Amino acid sequence: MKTGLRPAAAAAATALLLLISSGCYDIVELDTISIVTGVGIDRDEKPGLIRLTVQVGKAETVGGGGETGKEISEKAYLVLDATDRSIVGALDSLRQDNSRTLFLHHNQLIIFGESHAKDGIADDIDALMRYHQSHMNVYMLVAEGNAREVLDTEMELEKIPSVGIDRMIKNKMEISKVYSVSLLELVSKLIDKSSAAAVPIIKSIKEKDLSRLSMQGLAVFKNGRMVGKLSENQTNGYAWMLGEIKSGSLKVNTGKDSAELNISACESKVKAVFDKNGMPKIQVDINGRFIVEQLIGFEGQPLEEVIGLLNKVAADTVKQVVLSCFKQTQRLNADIFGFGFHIHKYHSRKWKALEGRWEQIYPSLELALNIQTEILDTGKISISPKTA
Amino acid sequence: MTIEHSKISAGQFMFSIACFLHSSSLLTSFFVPITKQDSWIAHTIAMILCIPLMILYAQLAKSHPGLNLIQINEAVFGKVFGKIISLFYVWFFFTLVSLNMRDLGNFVSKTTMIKTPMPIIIILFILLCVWSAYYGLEVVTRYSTVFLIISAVILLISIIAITGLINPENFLPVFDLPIKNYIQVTHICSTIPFGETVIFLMITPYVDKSQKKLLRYFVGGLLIGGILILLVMLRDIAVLGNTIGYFSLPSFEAFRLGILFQTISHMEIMFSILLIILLYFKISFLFYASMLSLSQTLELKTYRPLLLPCAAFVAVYSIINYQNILIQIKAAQETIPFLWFTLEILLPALTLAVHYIKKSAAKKGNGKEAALR
Repeated sequence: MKTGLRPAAAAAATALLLLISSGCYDIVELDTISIVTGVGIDRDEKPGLIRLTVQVGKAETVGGGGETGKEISEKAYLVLDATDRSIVGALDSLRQDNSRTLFLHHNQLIIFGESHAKDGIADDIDALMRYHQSHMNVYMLVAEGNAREVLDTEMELEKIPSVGIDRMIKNKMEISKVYSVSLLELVSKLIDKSSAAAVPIIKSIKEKDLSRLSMQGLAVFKNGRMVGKLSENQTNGYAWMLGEIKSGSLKVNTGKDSAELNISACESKVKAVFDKNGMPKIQVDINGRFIVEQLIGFEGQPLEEVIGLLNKVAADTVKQVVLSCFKQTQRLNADIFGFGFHIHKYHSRKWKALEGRWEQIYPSLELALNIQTEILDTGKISISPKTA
Repeated sequence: MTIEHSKISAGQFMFSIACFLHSSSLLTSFFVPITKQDSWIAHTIAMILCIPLMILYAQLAKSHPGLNLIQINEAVFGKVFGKIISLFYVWFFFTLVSLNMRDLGNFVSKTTMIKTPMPIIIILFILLCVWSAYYGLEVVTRYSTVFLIISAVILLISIIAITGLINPENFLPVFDLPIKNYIQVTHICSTIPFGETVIFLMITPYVDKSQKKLLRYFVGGLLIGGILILLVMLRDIAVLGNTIGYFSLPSFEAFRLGILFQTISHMEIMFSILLIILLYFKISFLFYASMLSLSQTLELKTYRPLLLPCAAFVAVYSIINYQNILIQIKAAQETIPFLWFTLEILLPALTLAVHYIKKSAAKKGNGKEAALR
């Protein structure tokens, strides 16, 4: 082959192709977009309308650098909102009324206002799954009060509230996974007809001129509608039932003495058994392992006795929170544990007979709890210096 | 008369089949809504059922050494009837090119370049395929091994990235759907990716040396490609669970969920790269094979002058073949498997049967002649 000419021509052609195919239609410049970090959906005062709030990060205030010595006192984020009949309509009007295009790829969270959640979120979920820029791993939250307030709460340490909330969720996840619910998990629960979903609740607390955010409890969704709440205590029960606790502590009380136990591991196993009439009964084995963190009282008691006592009261405490949570879900008739789904998965033949009646079965479903506890360690010391 | 003069090694042939099949793994939306979490079962059944099909293809190639599908048709059915059948295959191959082209266009304009008109993407892509087809078989199949390795590595990375999200319970319940659904999906799977390997009968004569071991390479390619698709499917089901039936691109969503050490997320770009690489291989191979079959049917000495006109035809064909993706999915679920079944299974089986009948008739004839003498 003649050297020189042909490779050169090929290289030139390739370069030309690259030039054409670089996507001049779809060019996205950083200074023409506003990066959405959080989305809130509330019910509007006018009936039938929703208010969509987006929190947009301002790149120049976050990036730092630039002129040195210039004090940044302005907010690093912006909260925009629009009112429309649907999210898509609201997004459209936000797009038209702004100098920049909304960019949702980096959205961290979606917050539903409480009253809107009670109206139903199924139609919003449809739009969120369909919209190309929305990702299935965004965190879902329910705001006590309205979502706009939460998105507009300045945090002391974080410049952008959504990023702060994202970190809050990650911190909470160190304790238990139940505090993080992604869009995918929510959808997975909602499309299963027998299951209900539990989404963390966030609220903005005003203290004098400061406000801060707090995540407490779970909102229970059934058939795409928020039907009730679980308290913080019941949320712990939910986590115990699922065996989804990674750390955190358990306060136990023997009546006169008390102790703080660190939860080092937790497992749970769900089993469904059926009686002659084919009615299900759920058996849950929960296994918790603890490390003693603090003993309050217990004076003069030998260690073995204390450990035995602690084991017993720990099991009782866990049983109490789990039952409290289970009773609450029975009152709401919302199977957030997915017991129905469990029967569907492991006993799919029997499920066919139960499927249509699950609504009637769940409120009186029998639950057999078997709780095993084990104290693994007593920390750096064994007997309390008080008892010596 | 041969148009293709180069030879490829048997390994290349096998990896080409595997790569060709693997490219279908990215577009599983045709059948996932039908069997949901059990799709992998139907897929595995289809893969096993297709082994006899590979035996059929290998037998067909072995019975006519040195001839490709178009030449076999003429040898078996005679000049006129053979050409009519060959024209069906030419149409089939061109349709496959255009359908895959449309998939690519749809994908790119739906996910990465939303505002770019689809014709631009399709035209640029077909030009690339013309370029590789111009240099013939060796160039077209050369990169199959590399592409397969790249895609296997990306598959592995994606599996690592989503390990945290894998939930084994997502595979349950097993066999919960009506039996009809499994049959339908097995049929779709065996005709849409697996049966399309009939196109490799176009290049069997150019596989170097190991003509006798052809079956081994056919089955090897089928298994490598099939197992890779299976892995993709298992990954998607393990992550997406009962939501899998809702997404038009399950793999794309699975990639989007992948996170490596907080910093590396939004991995869907890897999916795009993978899809474009694999579809490039598939389309350029399909395009090459359709050019070869067309020129063979028309008894031309070379297909090169036809490349650009045919590329223009393919570009238009892929834009107009289906009005929109909804109709395409419906067709892929309901009509295409039956059409393809004729061309991929019935016709080759018929060809082989006619060949054997002719052969035994000829033997009898010879026997009679010998007896008369």
